[in-house]
Amino acid sequence: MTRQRPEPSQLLRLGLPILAIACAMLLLPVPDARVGTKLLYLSFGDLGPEPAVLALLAGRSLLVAGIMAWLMGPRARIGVLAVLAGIACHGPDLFGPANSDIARATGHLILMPLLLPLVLHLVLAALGLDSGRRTRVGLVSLYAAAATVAIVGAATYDPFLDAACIDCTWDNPLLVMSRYGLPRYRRLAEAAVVLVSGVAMGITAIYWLTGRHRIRSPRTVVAVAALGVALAGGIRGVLLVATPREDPRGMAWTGAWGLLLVSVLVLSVGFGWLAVASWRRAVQLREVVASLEAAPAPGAVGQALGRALDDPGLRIGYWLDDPGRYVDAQGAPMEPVTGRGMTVTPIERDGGRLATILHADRVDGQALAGVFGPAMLVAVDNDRLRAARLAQLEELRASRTRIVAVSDGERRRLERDLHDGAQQQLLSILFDLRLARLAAERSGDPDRVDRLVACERLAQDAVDELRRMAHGIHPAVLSRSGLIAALMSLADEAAIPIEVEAGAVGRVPEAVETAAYIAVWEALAGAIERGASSMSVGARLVGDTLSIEARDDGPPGTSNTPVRIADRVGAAGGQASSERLADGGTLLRVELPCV
Amino acid sequence: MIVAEDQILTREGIVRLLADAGVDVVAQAGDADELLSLVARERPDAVLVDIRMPPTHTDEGITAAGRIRAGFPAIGVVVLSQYVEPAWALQLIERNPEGVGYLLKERVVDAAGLVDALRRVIDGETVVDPTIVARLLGRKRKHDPLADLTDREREVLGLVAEGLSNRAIGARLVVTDRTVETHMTAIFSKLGLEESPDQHRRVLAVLTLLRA
Repeated sequence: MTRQRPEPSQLLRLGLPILAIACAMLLLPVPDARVGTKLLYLSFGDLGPEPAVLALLAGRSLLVAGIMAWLMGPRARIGVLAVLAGIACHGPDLFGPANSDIARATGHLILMPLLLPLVLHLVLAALGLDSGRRTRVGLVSLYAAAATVAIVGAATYDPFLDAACIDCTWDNPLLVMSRYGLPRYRRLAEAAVVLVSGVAMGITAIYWLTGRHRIRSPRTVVAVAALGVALAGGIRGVLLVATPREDPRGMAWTGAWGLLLVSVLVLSVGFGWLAVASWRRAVQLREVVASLEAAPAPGAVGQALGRALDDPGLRIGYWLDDPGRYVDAQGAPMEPVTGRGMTVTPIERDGGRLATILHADRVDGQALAGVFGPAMLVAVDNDRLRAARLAQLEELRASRTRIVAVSDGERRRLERDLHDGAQQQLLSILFDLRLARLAAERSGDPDRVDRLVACERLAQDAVDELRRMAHGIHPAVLSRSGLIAALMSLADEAAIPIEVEAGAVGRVPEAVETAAYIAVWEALAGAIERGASSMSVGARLVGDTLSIEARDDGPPGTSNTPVRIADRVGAAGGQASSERLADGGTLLRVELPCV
Repeated sequence: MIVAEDQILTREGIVRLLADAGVDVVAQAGDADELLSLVARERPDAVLVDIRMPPTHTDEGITAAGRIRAGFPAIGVVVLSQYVEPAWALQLIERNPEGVGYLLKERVVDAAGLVDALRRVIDGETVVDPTIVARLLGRKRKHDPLADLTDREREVLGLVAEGLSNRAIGARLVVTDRTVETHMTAIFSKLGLEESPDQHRRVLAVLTLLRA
């Protein structure tokens, strides 16, 4: 899954279990399978070579899987449980050489009551169902009962008084109290522990298997094995109570043992698989965390996950409550939806929506969500807050641009209305006044002529004033002929000489032209205010950036002209700066992106 | 002649003023397309066209002037404008060096001046509104291409831009035609225009003024 080279500690973690397996195989005693030489049939393994091999495989594979989980992590406790269950499963075969029947029988006596509670605990832990308070109380009670049966039972079990076992003719070295009837009570108590464990395990397995879980997963294998163990436990429990004699060679007893051992073998496989999968996820998590420490840039979590899972299309959408949408690490809106080979997996924190991961279908979403421990969630939340800030910033910038665009549009509309409406009407009045004056001149009425001439002058003044106003609101030449023509026109009207040095600017977007024109207009007003006697304006296009330089010979003042220019230029996504020149003048520099 | 103006009120005022001055307005148009078909049909001596007409209400008048001048070189075209904008006067004259004029709308009330301007564009000269000429001459440039001209020569150049003939300039300045010719020679020389034919030189001088 990951293409990165494993670190030495990872190699160590893989190597240790292999070493442990080798040790377990070499050091632990092998059951003796000499059929017919046994004085005492204590276990399934005593029945022949094939049962002996099965017993060996079952117990030892659980031991091996436990050691693997223990050493590889991340939940070493489950590994310890599995090792204990493996020891209990080996039961009689663990203690002493094969011919030491007394030791084997004593081990059997102590360990058998503990086996099913241990397996139950292991199954619950493997399925992630062991954290509930009631479950923990139940488990502790069961352990207590099993331990009581093991210890008290061992101290009171006199094989010679056990009516259910004719072969049981050995001396129990742990015997403290020998009394008729006690072995039967012990048998019944063990049956109770086995039955309770079996029923609990059966319920657990059915609960898991009927839930919505992936079929091809180690936990499903564990659940199936648990069902088998539960069934075997149930049969054994019923046999312990119902049959008068314990007979390892009988059909029912043999079947219960066989089913138990096969189920334990399957359980070991599922558990080992789970341990390897957990370990691999843990390695991925470590890679993610390691890369986070190295580069906590925006979007680092998503990139690290994408690398760790070899899924370059992986994206994290961060949930923003306020606009109620997902954004990427840069704050740009995104819509994570399942489809076209991609799947979304939500990430929650304290029950609240935090983010969602858009990843390839082949990546296991549940496993991915499981990677997000507390540290990762904090990192994701940090990224989310940063994305939220970026989104707000972008929103503010866009809103400022929109406001300015609306106001620019209004100015253009106002200018057109003034020209097409008010000015046309004034011109009509002017024309009518002239016609009336001509008529008055012809009819020889000098008083009327004088009044009409005065009216004409007023109307002409009004036309001039309106024209100046309209030009100030928005110069029509800017929209039609562009920035340079408008700057020339501005220079024509200016109270001080302005030199316009224009490069090949051509036409740039209207918002940019307007911002540039207003910046120069403000700069001119500021220069006159500061007592400048001349000004020069340079405009040129460098790549996609319109660069304007306005120099004047006035000293820098304290007016807020630069602030107004910076506001206007900023709304168009540009930058403005002002500096004092060596010769005492002032230089305004404006850069506007033309995209 | 033909008048093209999309605002009916203004158009009627213009037509009445022209009629009052004895000009025969043979047709009226509301937009550029109508104007062009009327021109083709009526073949007027001159056309008076509003700079702002449908559809964009910006400089359709300048475009129409160019098409009329290209199709009918004998017809003089005066563009009426609300804008004191040398850039547009320059645009008009650069595209059509002869037989065009750029006047502000209120100039219409001066019937004698308007008729005079129409005559000159019919004669193939160029006419620029006196208000714009005044603005051009008032320009404050650091590197002024007209810096070598004397005040009197600038005045004469301005009158040339307004479309006055040498004789009219002499009358306006109360000097002899010869004096005006001397001034013209000096202006052409200082602007570096000695090598061109006379009519062409006058337009080039006006363009120099407009570009300054």
